[in-house]
Amino acid sequence: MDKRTADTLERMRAATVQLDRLLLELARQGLQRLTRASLPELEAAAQVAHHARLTALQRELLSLRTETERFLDRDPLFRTDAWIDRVGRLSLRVDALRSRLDQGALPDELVDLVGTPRRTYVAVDDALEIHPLGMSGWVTDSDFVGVTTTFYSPTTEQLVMASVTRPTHYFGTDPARLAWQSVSDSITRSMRELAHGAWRVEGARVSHDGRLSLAGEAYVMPVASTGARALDPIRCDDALEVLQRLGDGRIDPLAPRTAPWVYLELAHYGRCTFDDTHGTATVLARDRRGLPLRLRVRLAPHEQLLGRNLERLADPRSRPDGLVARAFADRDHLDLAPVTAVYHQPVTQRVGRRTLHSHMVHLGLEPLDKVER
Amino acid sequence: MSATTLLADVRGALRVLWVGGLQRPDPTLPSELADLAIAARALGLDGLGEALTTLQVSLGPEHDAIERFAAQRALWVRSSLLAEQLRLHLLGASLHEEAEGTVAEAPVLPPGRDTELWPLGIEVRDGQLQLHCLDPAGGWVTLEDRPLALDPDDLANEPITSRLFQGEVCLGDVLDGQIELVRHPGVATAARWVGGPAFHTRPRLRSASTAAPALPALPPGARLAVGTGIVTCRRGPDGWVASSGGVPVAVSPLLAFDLDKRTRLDGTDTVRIEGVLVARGDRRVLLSEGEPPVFPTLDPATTRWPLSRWTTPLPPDEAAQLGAMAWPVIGGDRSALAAALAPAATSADLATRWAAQWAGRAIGLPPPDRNPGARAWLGREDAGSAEAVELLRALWLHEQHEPVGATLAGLLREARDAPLDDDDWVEIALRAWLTMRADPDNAVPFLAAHGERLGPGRVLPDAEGLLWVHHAWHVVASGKAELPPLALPRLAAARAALSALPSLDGWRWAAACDALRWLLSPAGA
Repeated sequence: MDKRTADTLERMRAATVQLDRLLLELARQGLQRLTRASLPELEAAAQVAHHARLTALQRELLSLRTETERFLDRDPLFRTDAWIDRVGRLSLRVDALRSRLDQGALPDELVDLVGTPRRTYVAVDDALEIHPLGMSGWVTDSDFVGVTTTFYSPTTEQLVMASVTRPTHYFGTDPARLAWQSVSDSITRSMRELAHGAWRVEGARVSHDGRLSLAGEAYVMPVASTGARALDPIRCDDALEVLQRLGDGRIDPLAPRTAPWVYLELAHYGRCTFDDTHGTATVLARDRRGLPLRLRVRLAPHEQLLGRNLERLADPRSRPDGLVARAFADRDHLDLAPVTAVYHQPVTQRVGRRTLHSHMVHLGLEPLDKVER
Repeated sequence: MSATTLLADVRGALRVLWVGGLQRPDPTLPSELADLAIAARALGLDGLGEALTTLQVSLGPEHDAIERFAAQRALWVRSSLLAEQLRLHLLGASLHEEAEGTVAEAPVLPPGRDTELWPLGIEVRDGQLQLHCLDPAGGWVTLEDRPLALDPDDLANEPITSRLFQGEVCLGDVLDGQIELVRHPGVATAARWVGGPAFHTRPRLRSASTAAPALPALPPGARLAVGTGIVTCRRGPDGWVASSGGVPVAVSPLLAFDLDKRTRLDGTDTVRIEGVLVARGDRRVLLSEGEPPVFPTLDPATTRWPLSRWTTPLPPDEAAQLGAMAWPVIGGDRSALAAALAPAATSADLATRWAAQWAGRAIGLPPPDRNPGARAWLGREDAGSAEAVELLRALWLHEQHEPVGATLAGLLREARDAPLDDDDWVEIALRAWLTMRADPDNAVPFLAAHGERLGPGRVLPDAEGLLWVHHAWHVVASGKAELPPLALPRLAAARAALSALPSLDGWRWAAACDALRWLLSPAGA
């Protein structure tokens, strides 16, 4: 073990002791005896976590500091339960870290637990076969526009995501336009092409959380699409199976709360309603067994197309046979955020002067009014 | 008390504990926790009851804050996960309550066909494959496919990326076995049933286990049918012409290559083929021949000559070298061949040693000790003024031992500094080869400028040129870089070699082209 690794491990161990002490002190005095002196303590603990390369803990501590400040400011948005949850998760993470350190884990083996300040991409030895599930566009508050395509990789049996990101100052704020541009200097194919084919990526690099890097020496070659089999890993027969998937992701309190990807064939699409107060568009739908669920999208400026497409889901000319979506459980509703419309028979999609045949239409970036069954 | 109420009360108790602090907890909390523990056990939530009791006990004066912290955290974990699962469960129950039974509008899969198929042959039209088969009732079935890439020179043996089979398949394997369709969508017409790539299913390949149904003879005058027939092929001034029952039969390049091979040995100009044909309007297409069927329109190795055809008339050392070429193809013993090649490796003549080295390379021998000779040749004062072919030959020998260095590449550039002769495409191939090896940065512009001259329409100048061109082609084909291909199909090379057969000494062009396995049959065959 080199000196740098040994030093990092030493700092991690010291940080766990210090964080244990801090959390116990918070618990001992209770919320009603908290003073503003706790805020710099939490900041100092976040600094300690930062120097020990405990990125996830650092972020949790800074969030706890913000929550604590809300409490001290008598902010009506403060929720005691959320504060308790945050302390509980932080404490669990510290315990899990201590346990792994006692087992002799090295810093690189702790990334799933403590996070990493910046993603590292590891080269994949074999060629990576990828099949698209969904493509979506986004615009950040920091003035970046991007397109992300999520793929299923039978090679690793995981979902991987590839993105292109550009500053809005040069590329505008329309992700749909970005989808037509080359992925990188070395890969001349556009993200839209990647999202409508199956590919083998040579020289791929993948991060621990499934981000696929298409920069550098990576290049892609077309392979035969496996059709509906690519959807099998996320296929759900009905809404109850979607709920089951939601439950599967909630067994580990330390696991990141990500909405699961699901593929569901819906039997009925209702009318689209718009909620201007919450900025959402909603369609009430039913699965094959008649179980109700909601299709819901935000009405952000760059997601207007998604809202318009939601209105057209019930149109017989473009009505999809299935949807690839992210699943959420609201208090009384099962919500799906649709990403891709899937058709059993290829549909024609008019793009400019061309007519494409495809089984998938990516709802955030491709208009359904140009689609005909 | 319901589970929801219980969990809400547990959260309330935790709130009380965290607000008051672990140092001095609310005095009413232990009794409240005890009540909640009883309620939890009554609901069958023993784990939660246990966690509540543990926290209640830890609040006693004999326990410190550390124990209390651990106990409250255990209760928090259990109650949080339970609340999450309960929420999803209740949501599921509410979904059930609102269910409307089976919805009539539910999407249905397109109707499909379950059957077994016996392949008859494959027709290639504009990059599209039509796989003609028979179903158990003797009906005609066509499966259409448009592969992502197709090697027109060797359709039967090179794997293709098939949309129909949703993966890589070898058409030779497809034709050898049976095909099973499961809910495969398609269209039934009066003459046949036609299917294509499907989203939800794909044909499955199986080894042939049962005999195919009998195929009737092709009716005279049929415009869209499949059946057996006799094809008569005649060599004319413009190539091969074939007909069946007075209807012209398409002669593809592969079929012409096969007919050339058949007639080269016996010198005839007419071939009669009994096989399976598909009628396409005013013409017919040969699918297969004989029983068991062979596929001359797909497989360039359908007809092969016996190895003895090549070994007998050649001098012994060249025959050995030809054997070396063929050895990996026919699966011979490599160690025995290496021993047989040893005398050739000691020859003093550079050209002979070069040939022997090529043979050794074909069977994977390590470079023999002839590199010093090449290096000495390169070191000669007059090396720079030598012919490019000679110089490159020496460079090639040298490179077997160590990569081409900048010095050697510079030597070549110095020697061949004059403008490239556009008509000398052997030279183009040689320089492309060297550029790819020694100066890869310039390989793409070089090939972009000159690569199209290495097209299939060119007539090969001689067998030696063919060898070098093929080597350059092989370097490009096996490389990972996205270089533009040299566009030299193997079939063109093989046909050029075949046409040069009477005037050449055999082994040189045989060594030069990858078509060796298309020409030679296994030993003793």
